[in-house]
Amino acid sequence: MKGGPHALYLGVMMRDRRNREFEQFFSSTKDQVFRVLLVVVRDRGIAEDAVSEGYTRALAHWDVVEQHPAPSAWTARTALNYVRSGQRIAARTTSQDVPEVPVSDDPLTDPELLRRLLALSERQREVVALRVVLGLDTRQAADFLGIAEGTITSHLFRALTRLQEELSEVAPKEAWL
Amino acid sequence: MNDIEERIRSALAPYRLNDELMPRPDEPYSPAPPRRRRLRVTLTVAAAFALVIFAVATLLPVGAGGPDPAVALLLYRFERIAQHAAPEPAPKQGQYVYTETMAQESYVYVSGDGQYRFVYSVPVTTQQWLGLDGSGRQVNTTGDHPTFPTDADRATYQAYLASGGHEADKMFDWGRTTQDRYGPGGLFQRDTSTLPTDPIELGRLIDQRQIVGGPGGDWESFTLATDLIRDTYARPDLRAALYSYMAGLSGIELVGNTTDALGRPGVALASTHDGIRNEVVFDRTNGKILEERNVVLEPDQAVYQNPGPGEFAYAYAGQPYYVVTYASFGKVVDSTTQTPFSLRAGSSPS
Repeated sequence: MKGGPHALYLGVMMRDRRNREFEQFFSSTKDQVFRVLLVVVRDRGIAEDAVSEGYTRALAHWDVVEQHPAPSAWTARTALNYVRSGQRIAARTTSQDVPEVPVSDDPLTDPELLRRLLALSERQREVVALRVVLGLDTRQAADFLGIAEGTITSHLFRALTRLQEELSEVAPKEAWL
Repeated sequence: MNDIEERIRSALAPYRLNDELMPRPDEPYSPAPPRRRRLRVTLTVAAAFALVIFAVATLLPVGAGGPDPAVALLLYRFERIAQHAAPEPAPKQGQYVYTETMAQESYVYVSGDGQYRFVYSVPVTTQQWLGLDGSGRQVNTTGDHPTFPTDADRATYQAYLASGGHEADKMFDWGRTTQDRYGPGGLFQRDTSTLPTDPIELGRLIDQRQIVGGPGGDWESFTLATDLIRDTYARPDLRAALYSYMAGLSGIELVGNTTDALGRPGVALASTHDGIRNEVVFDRTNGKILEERNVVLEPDQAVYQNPGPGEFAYAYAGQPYYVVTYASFGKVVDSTTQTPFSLRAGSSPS
């Protein structure tokens, strides 16, 4: 017969340890992953929903995810796959205009930059989100998106150059509220 | 660039996830419920065919702003072929969808010291085994030598090698094979099983960018529809709806007969936007996609003149910067080591 009080005790200990590790992972990465989704899907509600689903799946597969070289990238990818799988189709915005991210009350918010960032193409937003927001290196971002490293570099270069050029035309006083 | 990166991070810093959304570790995982399947409007084949002939012959406007009748006729033919296609096996739990592609990407390379700048391309073969849960395996093999669009680019490359700079820059290890295994969710997977197969309903979702986000415009809709056709697993009735939807798009050109990189004959359609022509080569016999090419009509000089170092996607005017040839997609196999067939000239995607 398997189990018994000792095995039960060990099981509880392991579960507690697993939960603590996951909670630590969640607390330290949730905002970054949320911002990645926010930049890519451009809708706060969908981003929150997808990130929640991503972490729920990460928890369900935590034994695998904690071994992943970049667990936050795993979670972000799972969240994006969730959005793209069509499971959120009914709730998605139908506007073809650039949807506005609700602007925080925080005085450091930079609405002009956000507006222009969200107007980039989807691929450019993905690359900026992965490289700049999530902090993946070029190889990790290439693996994430399934494209060549050179393409990542090119998209990042184009996106940042475009933002820099566009923002240089806006007076700093107007850009920073 | 670091300033703008820091400014992006600062601008996004106030956005934080609500802690209440944290999953509770003791709660058993249950996947999100699939959305309800929409009611499908069915037409008989005869009625649809009659409608097609009527629409193409009398209704579609000719000239700027409307669909090209020749393009529409071809796509409606593909729709009928897909409508009559035999059911294809769908992947089950424990099985994998096998995809085999050959990509040719063109780059401008700027050496670490900025002294050498040349355009080159290199083939990359990718084999992917994708499970229903997004787990699987991927093998990438880089070709053993680059090719160059001009003699000047070749000469610069050779001078760069002679200088020993490639060793310092740790560049150009041709003939490299990498293998990666992925756990659940590790590979991108789009679930097309719940998409409607009514062309009007499907078209509405594509037009509103609800399946895949992106800018507006028929050129982008053409790209999104072709992405779905050659996606992980697109069943015949979904393909039929996609062909029908594409037949109503404006600005799609009939490029004509062509041959893909594997020597297979096909017919190419194209859409153009922002200086890039997106050509898609279809197999005339079954409408499946053999190859896609992104041809640069107006090269971005800012990319070519960038200070580097590194490689950047780039091609000269009239040259493709990206060509991907689909040797196989949608084939279901039982393990991550099984292949349905190997790359060879004359084979058709299955």
